[in-house]
Amino acid sequence: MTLTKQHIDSLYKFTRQHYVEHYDVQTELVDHLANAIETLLQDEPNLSFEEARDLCFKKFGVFGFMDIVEQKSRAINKRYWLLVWNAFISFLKPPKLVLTGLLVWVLYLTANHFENKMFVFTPLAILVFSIALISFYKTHKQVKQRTKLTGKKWLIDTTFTQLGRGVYLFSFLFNIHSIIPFVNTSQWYVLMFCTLAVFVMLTQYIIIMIVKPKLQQQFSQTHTDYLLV
Amino acid sequence: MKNSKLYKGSLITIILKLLSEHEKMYGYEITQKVKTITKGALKITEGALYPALHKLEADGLLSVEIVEVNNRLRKYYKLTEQGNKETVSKLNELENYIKTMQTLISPKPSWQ
Repeated sequence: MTLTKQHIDSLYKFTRQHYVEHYDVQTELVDHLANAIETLLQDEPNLSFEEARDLCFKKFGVFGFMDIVEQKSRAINKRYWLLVWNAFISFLKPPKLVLTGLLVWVLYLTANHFENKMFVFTPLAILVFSIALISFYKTHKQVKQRTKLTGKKWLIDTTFTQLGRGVYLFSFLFNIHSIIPFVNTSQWYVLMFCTLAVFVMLTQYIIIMIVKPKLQQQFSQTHTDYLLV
Repeated sequence: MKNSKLYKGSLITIILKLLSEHEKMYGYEITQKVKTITKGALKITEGALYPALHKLEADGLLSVEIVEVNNRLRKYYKLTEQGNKETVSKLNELENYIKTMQTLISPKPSWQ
């Protein structure tokens, strides 16, 4: 027996009732349940669809789908940060290393023009924070629009909105120095801080300009319902 | 999974091995295949299978394809090039482990 479209719709509803709100996760679970139900109904044709569904759901254990959702979320986050890390490492190897070095050097020279280094680092911190804020707002707007257009929520979008906050962490670390005045103004200290500042900006660039578009592109190729808005 | 503590460490290898023998497979198909091959001795639970598949996908060892089948969408998994290499390595690792265990469990009789 092949389940009807109505059965499949009811299975989507069933997964939502069991705390799976993201379509990309629901799809796989619905197909699994549907296969299991079809097999069970073949062996025991006297069972109703609902009875078969509940029996098949029991096989997912006490926590139902919750573990699967959590593990999937972790797997996506891992992939996200792995891409960020790989891109970051590429900026520490030739040929991109030249660019990184140049950025540090330019920042170092600029900072040395001022007695109080905060004239350079404070505007830079404000810039990094503003970019993070704009990016966060744009991502939220994009996700909202996609949900409105497709009527579906996607787990991968949660990753973008939640991990985008990683940028705030960097901004925060960077801002700490705005509060603490430069007590030790040795050249090595300034150079070290310039390097840190460039690393923060690079990470922000990688997250916004490389990883997010890349993951979205890859995801939309496999999930045709995922609209790139 | 039957006697889960012993099998748990091999789940990834089992999935990779099955996918190396089939062009593409979906979750339910993997559970059924394992059940059939082992004549029911080994049952992969849903709660163990999907996290393992998602981890392999995140690690870049599997790629996915979504196809509409019987009124619903089906997510197929297949090995990537990196996945193929990892399968060979994981199988070697498992074979060595089995050999070591055999040596420990049933050591060859010594003539001394």
